[in-house]
Amino acid sequence: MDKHAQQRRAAESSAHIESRHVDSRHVDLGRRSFLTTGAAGAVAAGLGATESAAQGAMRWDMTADVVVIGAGVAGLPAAIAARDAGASVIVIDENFDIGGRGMLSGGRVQLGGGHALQQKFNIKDDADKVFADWVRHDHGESRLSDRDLVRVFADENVTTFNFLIENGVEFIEKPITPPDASTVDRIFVTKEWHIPSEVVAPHRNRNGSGLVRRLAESARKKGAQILLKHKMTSIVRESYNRGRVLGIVVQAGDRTINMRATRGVIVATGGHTGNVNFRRMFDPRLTEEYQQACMPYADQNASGEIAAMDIGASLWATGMQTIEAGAAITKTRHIGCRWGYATLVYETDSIMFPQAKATGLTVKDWQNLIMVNQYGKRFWNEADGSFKFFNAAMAWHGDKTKLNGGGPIWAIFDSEAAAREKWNTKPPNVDPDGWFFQADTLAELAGRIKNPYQKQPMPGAALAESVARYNSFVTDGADKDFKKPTPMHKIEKPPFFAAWSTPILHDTNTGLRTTTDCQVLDTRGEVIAGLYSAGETQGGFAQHGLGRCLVFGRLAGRHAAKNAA
Amino acid sequence: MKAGVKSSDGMPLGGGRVELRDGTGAVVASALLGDVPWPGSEALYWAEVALQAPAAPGPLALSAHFGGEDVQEPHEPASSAFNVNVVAPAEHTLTVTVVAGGAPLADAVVRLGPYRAPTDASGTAKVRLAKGRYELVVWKTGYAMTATPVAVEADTSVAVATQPVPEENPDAVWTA
Repeated sequence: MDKHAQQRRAAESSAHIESRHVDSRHVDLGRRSFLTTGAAGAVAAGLGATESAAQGAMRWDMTADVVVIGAGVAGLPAAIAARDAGASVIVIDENFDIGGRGMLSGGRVQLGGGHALQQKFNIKDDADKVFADWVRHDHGESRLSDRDLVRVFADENVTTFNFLIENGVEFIEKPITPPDASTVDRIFVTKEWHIPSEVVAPHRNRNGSGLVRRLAESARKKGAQILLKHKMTSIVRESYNRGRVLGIVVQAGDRTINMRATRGVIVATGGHTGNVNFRRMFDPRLTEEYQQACMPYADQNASGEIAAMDIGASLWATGMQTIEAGAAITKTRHIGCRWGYATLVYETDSIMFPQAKATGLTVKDWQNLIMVNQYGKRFWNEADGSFKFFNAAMAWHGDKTKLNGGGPIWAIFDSEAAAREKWNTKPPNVDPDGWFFQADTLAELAGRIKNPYQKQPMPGAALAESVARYNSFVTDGADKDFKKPTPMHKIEKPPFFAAWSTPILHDTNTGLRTTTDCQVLDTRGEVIAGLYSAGETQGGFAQHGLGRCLVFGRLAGRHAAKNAA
Repeated sequence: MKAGVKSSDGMPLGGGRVELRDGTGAVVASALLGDVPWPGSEALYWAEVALQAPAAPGPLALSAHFGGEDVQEPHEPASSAFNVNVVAPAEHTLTVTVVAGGAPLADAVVRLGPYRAPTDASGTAKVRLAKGRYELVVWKTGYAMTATPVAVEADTSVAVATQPVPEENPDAVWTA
């Protein structure tokens, strides 16, 4: 089902529940399915007899103390921490497997503060240093942080590192310098999961599998129940903008499940970059053509944010989303496939390969191609990876029917370039079904580009002229238009190729407002009792990657578990 | 130089004539397309066209024309404009030795303006070129592109050093 249908359905089920609260007589028992869970004592099935009158209208199918939405890098430590604190826990994930983007990550965990592994390498670090680095005014990724959250983060780096070790996560003993605001070596990479068939993206150092699989294993061992292919469709609050959060409504196939959370619901659904409507709140340029890294496995669809905002939640530090730093927008280094990102590649033996369809051609040297927009015109120095490149790629290129967004970007190269890069330009390396094309002449190539986001055919004459102009820059040794350093190679030996090379979206840098205990706040600054958030769904601190999701996930679980019912 | 023609229906075009014309429209060279398509192409029929270089160096605007009547199935005429760079004939040899991190760098492209040559296993390139002043550029993926001003009056040698640049890898740039 497409995203619009999913969102409509979510809205419909909220409205349905809202009407139930108003008139408690209208409970349609016939549509409920009662479930028994059979789980190891962690979850109670059926109705809770002690429910208050305000909840009487809602028939709950399952109950736990803490319900975690999202079995990823924030949700899994939340589940474990909640179990450690004595709460019963259900974790749901809409995907068929755990881990979210963490499963596909490089497993590079940034946690410092002077933990045991840092000490082993004589790396001097402490919580104050972590704090100082992440409130730096001279770095784009740190200056807009909510410093209350950064302080908590800093103070919980060592405890979170120890938590990971205690829960079976193993690290490769080699410190790595973070390429961000950190001034100390704080990155260690987790060991890849040892069962190849359970590594979703094999052969590509996607060591994050080792992080999420160990945490899921530990969560299950400790009695958390993880329900896959269960999608949260709404969060239930006593009233739409008032009172406690009571639980969530879940869709599992054609079953609707009302899930009661007596102490707390933790929103850990992983951010918004896959949701065009939502992401454009911060940047109207991000129209439909921009793909989302980590698809087709993990979808950051803003479901958590939207469900929380539906019951009054506030966003926070939204300015972080469009800092021209970090990895919110990245270059596609694997061209000629739909979801080519910087490092992630789905090899042919990945379980996702039938959907991913191609590995992509990895660009080693930007000298070996030019990039053109959908009109066949170059727009910037191809070797530039800065936000100037992205701004130029997303600029208005003249499409009178589509003013927002920059449209598709195509890498254009010839067979000599393919030879220099050692590219095999046939499937499964490329996806000719809309993302990679070949032709004997440039004019023919332009006409062959048929892609859902290429709204009109690329003019052949324009592409030929762009290449001719670029070739003249090669002759002259200088790029008069965009200052690509000494253009080296003419594009002139057939066949010619066009490969999807549109910038791809990655990090979510903003999200729900929370207290330092991860409690979600509404637009008036009041706590929404019973609602928590952690990970990329949480706003205020956007350090890229796994470390901060792990820290706040763990804290959210701990606090939710201690929340009075 | 080579000129290629592709039929929109992939039809054979062997025996067809391709002409090169200058800015005034005068034909400066022509050749007949061969019967075997260009390797790797679907149906690009091509010819080697020899043309006389003009006396003065510099860019030369040309166009290639295909009439379309003298092939198996009649085709519409087609043409394409392009530029060539006319350079002075090479009179000298510049021997360039390239090292990177102290070791000879093989398979690098050494380029001086329009003249270029690859380095061999010993890191040496012999570039045939005309007298003049150039920026000597060394290029190889994974190495810093260097540019060194060089003046060539006679056969001569020059040594250039570069250094490896780490590939854009997960340690250099944030990745998931």
